[in-house]
Amino acid sequence: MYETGGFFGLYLVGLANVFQFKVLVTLLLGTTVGIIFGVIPGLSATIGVAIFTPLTFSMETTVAFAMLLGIYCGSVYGGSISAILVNIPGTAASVMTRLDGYPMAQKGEAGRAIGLATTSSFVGGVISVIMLAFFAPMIADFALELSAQEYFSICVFGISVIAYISTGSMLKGFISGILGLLLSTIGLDPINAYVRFSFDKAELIGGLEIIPLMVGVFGISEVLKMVESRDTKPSPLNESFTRAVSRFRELFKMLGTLIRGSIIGVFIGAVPATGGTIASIISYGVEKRISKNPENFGKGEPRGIVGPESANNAATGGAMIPMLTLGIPGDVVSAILIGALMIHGLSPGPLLFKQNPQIVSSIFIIMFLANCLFLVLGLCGAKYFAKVTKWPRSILVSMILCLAIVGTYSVRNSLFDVWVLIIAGLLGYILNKVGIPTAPLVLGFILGKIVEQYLRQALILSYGNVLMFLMRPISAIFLGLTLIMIISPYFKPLLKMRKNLRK
Amino acid sequence: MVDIILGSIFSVLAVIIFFRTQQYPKFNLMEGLGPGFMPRLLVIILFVLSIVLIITGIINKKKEVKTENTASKDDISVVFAPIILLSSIFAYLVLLRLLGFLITTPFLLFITMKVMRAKTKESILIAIVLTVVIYALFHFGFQVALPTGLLF
Repeated sequence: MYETGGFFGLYLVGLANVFQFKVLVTLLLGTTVGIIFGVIPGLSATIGVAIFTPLTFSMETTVAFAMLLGIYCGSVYGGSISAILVNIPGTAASVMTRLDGYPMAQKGEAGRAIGLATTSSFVGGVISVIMLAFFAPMIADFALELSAQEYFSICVFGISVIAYISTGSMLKGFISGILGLLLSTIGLDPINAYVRFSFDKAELIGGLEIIPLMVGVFGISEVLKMVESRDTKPSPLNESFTRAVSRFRELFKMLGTLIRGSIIGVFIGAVPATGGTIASIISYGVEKRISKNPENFGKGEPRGIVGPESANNAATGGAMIPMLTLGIPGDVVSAILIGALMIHGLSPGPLLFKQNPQIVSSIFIIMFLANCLFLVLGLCGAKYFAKVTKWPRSILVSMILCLAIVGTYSVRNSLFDVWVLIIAGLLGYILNKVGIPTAPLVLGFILGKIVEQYLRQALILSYGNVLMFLMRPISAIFLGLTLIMIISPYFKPLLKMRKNLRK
Repeated sequence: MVDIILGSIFSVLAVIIFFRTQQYPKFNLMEGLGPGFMPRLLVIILFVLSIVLIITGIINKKKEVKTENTASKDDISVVFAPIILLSSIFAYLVLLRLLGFLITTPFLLFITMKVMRAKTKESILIAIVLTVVIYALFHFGFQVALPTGLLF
């Protein structure tokens, strides 16, 4: 498989890279920043990684990924702290954690809740890194057999999933996705290099930049929403919270929930476009359905914390699987990490494993360490991170606004991008008001860029043979799954119709 | 009602975009389709979806009880603060190139703090401190050149 070191070569080759002082310090810094970003509502994993990615331009690749992966893993975990203590999810991924975390904290068991969240996040994250390290090389090998048809079908499947991931009406979710896809057509077309929708602006020739769009639609719209209430007082913090209590023993009594959550997280993360948020929602739903005491959910049921938190951190490793092996992002953050790879002259895909095994290996090791780090930081220092929730909202809003603007500007030293940021923010704010979800827009934008390229490449390679999409088995499978995704909401009404007809 | 307006806006947008792509060079299947294919396909789907949205909007409007009217008054005033902030940001972006980051940013942050009803002293302090910290972080730490204007 790999010339250096045999079977374990891939895993060991990165050790030398990672265990350098510079890398480890940056990882510590990144994870800490990540947890803080996670705790602050309005800042999230996606925004954190987005803002820091352009800044890693001047860093070595390994150092850059230590920073970004630290932020990633840390912030997915960090959201649980504010969800539990203040009933506001710090990140979207912790939206389910507050359902049982907050009631548990209200009962005076905040330490237990945070301990459970921390330990389950750790286990979920580690399991996902192990699965990533195990499956990615296999898939990368196999990916050499794949052609544009398969890539296209996988992306189309990802797009079909988009509408499901949003709250609210599926129709609006689809519309949002289509808008995102349309936004991705701005700029040079991928095959003929014909400039589309540039409105005579040079900056648009390359298309919209993902970071301003994303930080705007998610971050700035959140800022505008926070400003609505004009209320600078922070939410009341649970004063009884002194420290997180390590809950491994209790955790392992809920092994089933833990394993289920982690597996759900890895798989959902691996599906293009879906990530930690969906994983945690599904995990919560599954746990509630399987439970012998479903009525306890929402009142402080520990499984209501363990499931979602292991799932959302497991999604981090899962999302890296398609990203590294195929260049298809498993979620929004991994999409941005593709950009990070490219800044350093690397392209994700099977060639990455062949030509740069040390960076792949370093990524595995860094993610593993990042999970260990937030475990330690969380158990020892959750109290300090929690203090962030006490900061007046006026300061938080100012910070987020300033960071968003400066971070966006630093992508390509472009004021135009900052305008895109603000207009995207206004757009996101309006969409929220009219009930159109914003996540599909961003995901549509990300997938749109690659789906068109693969479609047209596939047609050129097959001399216009549309049947190839169905004749190649993997492609056919994913197209079939896409069909199922599109039809499934109509299953129930169709079955009901048949029942009524028979009567 | 909102749905109906939305649906109408989107359907008009769809039509406009469709016609804009008329002039794009056309390629057939074997040549990989042209630059107009994707936007047109998307816009057709958008058009269909927006018609469905209009229809569901009409259906829901009939079901709607007329208690919605009183709620809208509160809704509108809530938007004032974001509008103020947004206008300040627009002004900031225009002035940024003229006066530079170090001068304009404290003003924007001050306005942001005041909009959130922070006390004046606090607002000035945070505005200046945040500007300096972020400038130092990005300029010296990440080596990003922030806009310099006439003075700074």
